Amino acid sequence: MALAETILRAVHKHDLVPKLTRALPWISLLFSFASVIWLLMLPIDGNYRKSYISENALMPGQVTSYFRESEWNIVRGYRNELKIFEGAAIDERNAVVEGWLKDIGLKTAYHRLHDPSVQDNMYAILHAARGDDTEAMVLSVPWTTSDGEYNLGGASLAVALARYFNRMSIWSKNIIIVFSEDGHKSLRSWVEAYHTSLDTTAGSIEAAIVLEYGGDSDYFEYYEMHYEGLNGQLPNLDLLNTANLVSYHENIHISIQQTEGEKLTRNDYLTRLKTFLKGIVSLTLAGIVTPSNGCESFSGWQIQAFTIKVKGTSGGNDITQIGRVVDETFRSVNNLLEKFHQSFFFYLMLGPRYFVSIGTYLPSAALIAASFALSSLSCMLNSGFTIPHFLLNISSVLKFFVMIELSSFLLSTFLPYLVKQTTDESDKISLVNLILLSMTSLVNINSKFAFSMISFSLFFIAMVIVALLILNFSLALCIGLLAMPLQFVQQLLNSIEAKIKVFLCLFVSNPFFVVYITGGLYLEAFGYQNGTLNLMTGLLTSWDDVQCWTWFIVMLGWFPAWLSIAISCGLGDFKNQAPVSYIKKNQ
Amino acid sequence: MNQTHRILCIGVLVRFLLPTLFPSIPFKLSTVVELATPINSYTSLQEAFFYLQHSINPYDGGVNHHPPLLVAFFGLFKSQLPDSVFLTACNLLYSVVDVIIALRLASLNRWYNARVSKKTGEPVAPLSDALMVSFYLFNPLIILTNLSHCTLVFSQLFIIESLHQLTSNTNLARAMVSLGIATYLSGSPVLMVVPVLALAYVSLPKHKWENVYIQGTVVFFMTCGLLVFISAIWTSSVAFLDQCYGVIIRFDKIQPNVGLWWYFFTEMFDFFTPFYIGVFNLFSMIFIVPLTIRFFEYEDKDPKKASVKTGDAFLAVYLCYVWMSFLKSYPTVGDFGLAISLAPIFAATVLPYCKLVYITALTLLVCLILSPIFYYCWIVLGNGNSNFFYSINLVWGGVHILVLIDFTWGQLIREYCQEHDISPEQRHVIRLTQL
Repeated sequence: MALAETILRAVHKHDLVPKLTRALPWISLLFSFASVIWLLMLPIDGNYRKSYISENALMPGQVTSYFRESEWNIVRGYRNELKIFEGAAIDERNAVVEGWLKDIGLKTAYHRLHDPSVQDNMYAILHAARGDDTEAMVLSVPWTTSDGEYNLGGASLAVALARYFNRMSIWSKNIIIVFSEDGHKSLRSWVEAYHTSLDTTAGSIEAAIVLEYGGDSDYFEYYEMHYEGLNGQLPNLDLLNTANLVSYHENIHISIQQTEGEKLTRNDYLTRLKTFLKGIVSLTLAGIVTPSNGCESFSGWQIQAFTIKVKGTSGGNDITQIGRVVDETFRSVNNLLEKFHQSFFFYLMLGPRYFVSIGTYLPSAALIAASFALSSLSCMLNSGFTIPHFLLNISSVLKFFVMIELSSFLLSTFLPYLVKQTTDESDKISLVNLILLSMTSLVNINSKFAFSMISFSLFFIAMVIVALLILNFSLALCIGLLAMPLQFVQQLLNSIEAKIKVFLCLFVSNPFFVVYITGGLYLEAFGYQNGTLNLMTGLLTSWDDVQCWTWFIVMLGWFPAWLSIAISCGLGDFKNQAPVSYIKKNQ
Repeated sequence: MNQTHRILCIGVLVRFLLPTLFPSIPFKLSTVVELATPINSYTSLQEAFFYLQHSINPYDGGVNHHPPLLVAFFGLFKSQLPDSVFLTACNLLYSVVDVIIALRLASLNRWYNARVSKKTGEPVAPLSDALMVSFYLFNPLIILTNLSHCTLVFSQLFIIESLHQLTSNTNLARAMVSLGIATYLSGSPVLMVVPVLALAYVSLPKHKWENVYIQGTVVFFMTCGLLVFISAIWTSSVAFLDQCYGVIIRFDKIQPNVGLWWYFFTEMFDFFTPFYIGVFNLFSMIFIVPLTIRFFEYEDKDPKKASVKTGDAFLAVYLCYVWMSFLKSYPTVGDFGLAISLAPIFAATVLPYCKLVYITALTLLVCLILSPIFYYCWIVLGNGNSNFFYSINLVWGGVHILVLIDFTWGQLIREYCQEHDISPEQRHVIRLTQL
């Protein structure tokens, strides 16, 4: 208390309060920069950690897998048979595989979807000899991989693995093998049905592996590991580490965030940074961008899931090694006596064996939130109005903001509905996008608005970021960084020549502009067709398809704040009420 | 129809129409951990009805922790009225209770400020009735508590009624009866006896201290005893005592809430439990007497003496209420919600000296945003754990502490200014330090 008192006295003595108040815009800018710098610092040695297994019971790599060359022939056999069905309907393929799985001794069942746009899912359950039928592990095989290939290797490997698993008596958790049309909507609906309506079930799912091995090659170069879940969720890092360790023993290279070539083995600042930043973006876009990798379909039911996506057709690794990775990972999970519970759910990967933990990366988003809060305070204190003035205004500000929020809500529910109704989606969506963009620029024409509104909107964004901080760090960070130009608006408002700058700030921080740019530049750079359309469709349909709520956060958190600032700028008559602090400066 | 009435009407409409149009609202809200606890939730009251209808003792099975007379009161209507009418009647009852509390707060506000003006000789302008009423009726925490049909509302009604009887009606017996009922309904208001008696001592016109304290205490315990006696006759056992009050003291029903207790009983080894029960119960009452004594208004024979002006018994009641809300075993956000709605009473007296109002408000806001999110991370997503939720409970406790510190310090400065006759212009310039 004495120290606080001393500091307070010093602050008063040197008259720091007004000085600090005037410097607030710069302080908030400093916070934003600090946030970015913090992010860039994370891949530097000493700031990240080497991965380790936190749960002792997992004991990865401690068993010898017998899924070796003798099983290779069996995989080949199934593959030759399945190759015939490459052009066949999914029902036919399912029927063939079902026959095999039944012969092996597994219990099969169908998940019938009464939706013409999605095919039925088939799944088989291997009941554990030593288990109490309450826990299960899932091996999921989408018939079409995320690259659009026929998942021939994956399917034949899965059947061969089923045959192999069935001969072992060590299982204490059931094994479920799921064949779905793809890794997106159909797999998601199976996961949902498993927990709600399906009759044939095998207990709570602890872990899931999605297997994508397109083509009929026996050999591959490396595999990509995908792990991003919906709404910012991540699987337990222990599971990923287990698979990583097993693959390391098998001498397979793992690609995190689609690194390729020589970067697979390189470990320097730039590769780590790239993986890290790409991880943040793909976690933000998980569930929205299609085709998806399948692992996010398991989000929300306390299931740890990741995708193995095999890359290359030549190389030193053969198909049974993937079988061994799956086998040994399942053996480790099989050892677990409790759920994955260590506080290993919040991390960002820098490479297969490196990660940043939450305590280290969280400050960057917290700094952004603080920067918005300070900017809001600065807007309040530097606009020349007193705090009581704001308090008197607060009810009208709230009323206005609630109206904006309501209209955003209507828009956010109406747009996905519009998309569902149309047959020719692409035209309508680009139309919607166009309408929104033009509507948001139309707003800038007439009427009046005040600093309290801007201040409140900035504060609102700060609160949105705070709310998302733990739940969905990457989305919080992205919204914070992308909406940052809104902070500069208040300083630019007083001069007429800055109108263009204000407009530019508003334009750049518009959510739809960001969608447009991200889709057009970022996604297309990574080989997605029609990036913007893909992203917009994903945003609009992801709630219905996979229960991803990013669209609502954008529409109810970011967009209304943006809209109210835009309206304030467009309508406010700022010439007569130039902020006091600026007048002083000019004198 | 003046402004106050209009505000009251809107307040009633929100409370009555919402649950009437959407009958699932109270049931859904009463399962939210922040809004209701097992001992005062509407769902457990429903369980009690079910037991009653099937002629089972509602205190068997450890589901119901509502006192028997409350169960009987609701059960009577439940058995006589068809379901839909009963639910509507419930909505009406809860709305009316909130309106009464709002009106009582307005009258408390008028009384307190008039009294301070008289005592210090400087007129203080209270907030208008309309503002006081809207501070209560449109407090989101209060609205949510009311919509969740948490039975805490009744206990709060009787606490406020007790203060009202003491101040505006100057009727000691009725005040203590009300407080007795509040204690019977939720147990913890027993702590309020001390500051309320201190308030009685200064607010009643002609009194001797023996009369006030002895009469007050006797009436209070008579009321409690009578209510317990009737309950015992109605249930023909004393099992309810353990189920209603034993649970509060021993924290038997281990379930997370916004308070500070649950974590220690969930996460610690069993053999520590008696120790923590002792510590928490002791701690929950430890500041009641000191706070009351510090802000006690002493009588002095010489009216010119400065110390006459100091002390504020009503503030002591307020701070004790905040303390109670801070360390209750089963608190909800509604407990602190009432404290927030009471605070504007001090708008012209202590609040101008409070420096942490903005910090407190911000902390409160962040706390309210993060609490349900962390609970969701822990229970639904499974990627968080109990530490997440408890960390926010600690911050929630911190908000209470900030209020206590701020109001106490504010009052100390105010007293200093009064004692030293510092002019109003000087008051906000002067800087005091605690050494």
